[in-house]
Amino acid sequence: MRNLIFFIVTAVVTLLLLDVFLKGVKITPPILKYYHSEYGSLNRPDINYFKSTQGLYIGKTNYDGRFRESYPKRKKDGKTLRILLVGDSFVEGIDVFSRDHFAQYMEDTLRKILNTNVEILNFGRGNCILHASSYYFINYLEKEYDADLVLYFTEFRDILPVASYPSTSFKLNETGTNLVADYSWQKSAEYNLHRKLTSLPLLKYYEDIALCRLGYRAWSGIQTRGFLQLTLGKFYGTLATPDYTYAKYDVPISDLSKKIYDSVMTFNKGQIVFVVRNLPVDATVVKEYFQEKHYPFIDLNEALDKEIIRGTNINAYYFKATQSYGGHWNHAGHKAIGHFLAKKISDHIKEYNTPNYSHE
Amino acid sequence: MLFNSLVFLVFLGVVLPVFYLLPQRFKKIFLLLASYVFYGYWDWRFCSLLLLSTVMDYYLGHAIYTETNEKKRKRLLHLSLLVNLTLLGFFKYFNFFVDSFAQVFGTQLDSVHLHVILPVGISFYTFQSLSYTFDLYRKKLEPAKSLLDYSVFVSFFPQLVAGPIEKAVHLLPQVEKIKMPDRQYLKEGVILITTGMFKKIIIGDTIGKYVDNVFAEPGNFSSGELICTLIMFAVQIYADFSGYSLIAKGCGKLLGVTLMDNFNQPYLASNITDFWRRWHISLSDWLKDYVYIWWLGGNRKGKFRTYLNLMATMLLGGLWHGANWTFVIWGGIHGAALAFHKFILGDKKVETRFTYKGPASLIKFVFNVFFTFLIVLFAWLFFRAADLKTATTVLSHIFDWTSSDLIGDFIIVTLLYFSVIIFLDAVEYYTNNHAYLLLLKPAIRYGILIPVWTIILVFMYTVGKPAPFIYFQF
Repeated sequence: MRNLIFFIVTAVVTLLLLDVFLKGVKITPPILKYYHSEYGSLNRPDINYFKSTQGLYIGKTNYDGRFRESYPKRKKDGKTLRILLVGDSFVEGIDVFSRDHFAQYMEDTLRKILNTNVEILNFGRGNCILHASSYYFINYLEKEYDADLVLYFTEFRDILPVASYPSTSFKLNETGTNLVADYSWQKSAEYNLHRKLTSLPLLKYYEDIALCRLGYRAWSGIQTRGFLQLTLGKFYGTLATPDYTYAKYDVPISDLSKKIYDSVMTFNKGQIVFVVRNLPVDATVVKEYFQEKHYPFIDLNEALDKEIIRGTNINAYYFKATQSYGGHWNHAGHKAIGHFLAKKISDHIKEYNTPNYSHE
Repeated sequence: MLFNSLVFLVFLGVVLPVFYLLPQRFKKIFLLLASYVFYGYWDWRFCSLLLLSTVMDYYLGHAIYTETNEKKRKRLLHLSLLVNLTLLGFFKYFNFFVDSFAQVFGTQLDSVHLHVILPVGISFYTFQSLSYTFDLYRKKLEPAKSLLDYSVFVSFFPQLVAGPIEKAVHLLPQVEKIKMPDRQYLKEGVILITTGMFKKIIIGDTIGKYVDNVFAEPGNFSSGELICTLIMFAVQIYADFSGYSLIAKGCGKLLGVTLMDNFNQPYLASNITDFWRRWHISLSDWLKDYVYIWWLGGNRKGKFRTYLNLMATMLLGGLWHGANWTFVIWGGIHGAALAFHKFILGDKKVETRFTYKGPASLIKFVFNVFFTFLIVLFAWLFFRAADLKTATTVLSHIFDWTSSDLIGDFIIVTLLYFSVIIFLDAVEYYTNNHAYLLLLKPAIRYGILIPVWTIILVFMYTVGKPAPFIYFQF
């Protein structure tokens, strides 16, 4: 009996010490995702986060689950230019520190050029493409936050007629005439597992335990690669190479996407400017649609020649540490994009509809 | 096959029971096969090189030992050296010398550049084979009794790819009389593997995420962040390599073989000579015995020559790590520090273990440990930097004295990693035992082992591709 008590006490103390250590060195960040009853998957607010899959990120989400400074929802005065960034993981930008994010370069450069206070709020979220981000934008961001300018990032995945993200997204109603909310994410296996786990008293706070965080990631790894492949490696066989062809995006822009772009453009507090990304697939049909409808847009092709920063031979997508290509923008990429966007905005600021911002 | 991979645990789970169950006469053959499977898991073509090196050194060794004509013996020794070093040189240093030549003479020699893969562990098994030949030549050893014995000695999987570089005089007799491990060996084996896995997976691999990113683009980081990262690298390379050595030693124990200690709390060394008695002991022993003493004459040729010999040995040690000027500088810094220490030490004995003689002695010890660590840390900068340009970028940014918003995070992370590694070393230092967990009551020991293994296993499933050991590239 005494031995059993010794064993239990030692095991608990060891686990506690390991927990403190693993969380202290940041390598077991909480699961970023949590589920909001209305919007579905969102970023967890106020958590320390660490990411090292391509570059390195150490930081914290703000009260809104976003990876940038927490500006108040209401703008201070009319002399402050407030820009909202909406988009996917490129906008979220957690492969570099916040100080190296393109928003920081934009803010610094615009402050100098316009000689005014500039606030850039980052609402980028990994994998959250147009169908879901627009629902969140129209139903939450537009109402809750003051903005003079919204840079709405869009790309090749946005043209498809279906959403594939576990958040409330837009879909077309049965007659195909109006946008309606799609709550199908509530049926997903991951959401239901999460709901079950958090409903159990002992597991309610599983997110705060390093071992559980690791366990969740291990479970995801097993789901992706399979238990036997992970365990037996080459003896089981080589892992199939994912299909990196983008043929399915060589299609016309969907009616759903057109409707969403049109709805986003009804934003009336300030100006919407779309920013079109060009890699891995140049969203030509999106640009054509914007031209046809006279929607203002910035084409990132002007800054990047595929993965190379124009006027240089620097690759904007290559991360030396992990030797990975084609993921997200690296430090040089963020810097180039930040300066490019700042220049574009300052060049056109007088043409934009910004009723709550006056630039003298 | 990487020690920190799940497939290795499966491999070990198959090899050990079969090894224990097989009759004595089949044990060595099985061990040889298992070692070749282990090695061939990377690339089966590497096995042919290992086989070639083994067969050649076995027969040359025999010839060297049995030949009575001194001139012929020397010629055979030179032949063995030539073949071994040519193989090593071809795979490891060819491009380095081509590049250096091109840089010095300002020419383009891209067409001469070879796209060859460095066979894993070639530096380790070449040096191990050479030790056999050298000892036979010096008649300090009798030739292996059979090609099988010698093949198992060279390819023994626990230490094949990253050491310890075992001398034949120590490992060969154990291989010849391979035995079933007793209970104590098994217990020690499990403890050593656990400590090694903890060091490698929980400390080395995770801290590497910081180090790799910062060293990839040091220009993006502030002075404080760079200093912290340099300390983190000191922790990483130690956790990584000593973790490997402990797993190797643990696996050896499970197969009834005692491998030499490769690390003995190096960051608690109170001077640079002491550091080299604690860091990568098998390589420093090899260099000391065969290069410094046997080849260069050690300290028998006067003081000045002693300093030169130390410098030459360490430069060679640096070059052993890889074909890069950064390794030469790293070796040079250590060589200069060792020579300087020898100079100030004179004929006094090197202090290797702290004995408490009052607070002053403790303060002196702490200061000496700190000062030694600073020298080692400075040298690590060159060791880690991919090239001289990266090393100078790190240095110049460190001396910019810039601050940043994340310096607090970097300091906390560095302190946590550093304290854990120093704590483990302090326990080892105090108990003078690598398998110190065996000193605890079984209930407490298992209370530590089970949670640690749980975390290790879960970690293994979280990383799709286990991080290779740093020393594999050498």
